[in-house]
Amino acid sequence: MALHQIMGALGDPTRFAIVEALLKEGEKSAGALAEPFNMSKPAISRHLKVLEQSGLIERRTKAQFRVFSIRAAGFGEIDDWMSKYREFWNGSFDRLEAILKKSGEDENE
Amino acid sequence: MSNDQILTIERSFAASPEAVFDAWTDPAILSQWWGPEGVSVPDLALDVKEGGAWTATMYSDQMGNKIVSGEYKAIERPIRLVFTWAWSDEDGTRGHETEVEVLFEKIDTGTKMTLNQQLFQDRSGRDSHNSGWVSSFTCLEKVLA
Repeated sequence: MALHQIMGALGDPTRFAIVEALLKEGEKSAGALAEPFNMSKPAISRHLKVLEQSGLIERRTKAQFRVFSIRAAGFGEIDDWMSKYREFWNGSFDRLEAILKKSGEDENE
Repeated sequence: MSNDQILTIERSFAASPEAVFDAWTDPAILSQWWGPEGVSVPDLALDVKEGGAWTATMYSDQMGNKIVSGEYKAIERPIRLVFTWAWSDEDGTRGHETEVEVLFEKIDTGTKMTLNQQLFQDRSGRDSHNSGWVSSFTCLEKVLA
């Protein structure tokens, strides 16, 4: 799944809160996930479907219930995103450090 | 520190907050360091004012020319700089936009600079609930470990 689709799925406050709840509290049923929101079952189901399609969460059936959990692989794109930026900025700041050091030395000459 | 950041990097420099701040807003300086080793900035246009646009062309042998652009949200020399950030695709379409905040703090040895880059430029998705990014991403790190 492309990053912008994952971001799109996470960009909605309800879906974001669902993902946070699953990250913090682990596996949950659709009913338990719906509880904090004043929303109809079909509305929550739609949100869960978008998240499932984005690859961020997955479902399984436990007894007769549907339970949802975080799909670690789905977060790989976000992890890559963070690593790339961390590399970008750290590399940039190494160069900035050299420039500031040089201009400091020039001033002292 | 607010709790909604996703990527935070801290660095200290032996220079005044003004000098470090200006390294971000003076195109002659910024073009010398923006991007890791092997990246150059052949074209850079900064309209440094709130609401002003900025565009940079970054070049490396591996990626060729890539355009990144955004808009200044806050310019508070020498303590804080905020701008949006998005890479453009080959066809010129801007991709996912994030927000970058840079904080400059005077310390004994010079300046402590903190960069916060947020996953979402739009705050509404984050501030509508109390739980924060940091705790979520601590959990995420566990998930990915």
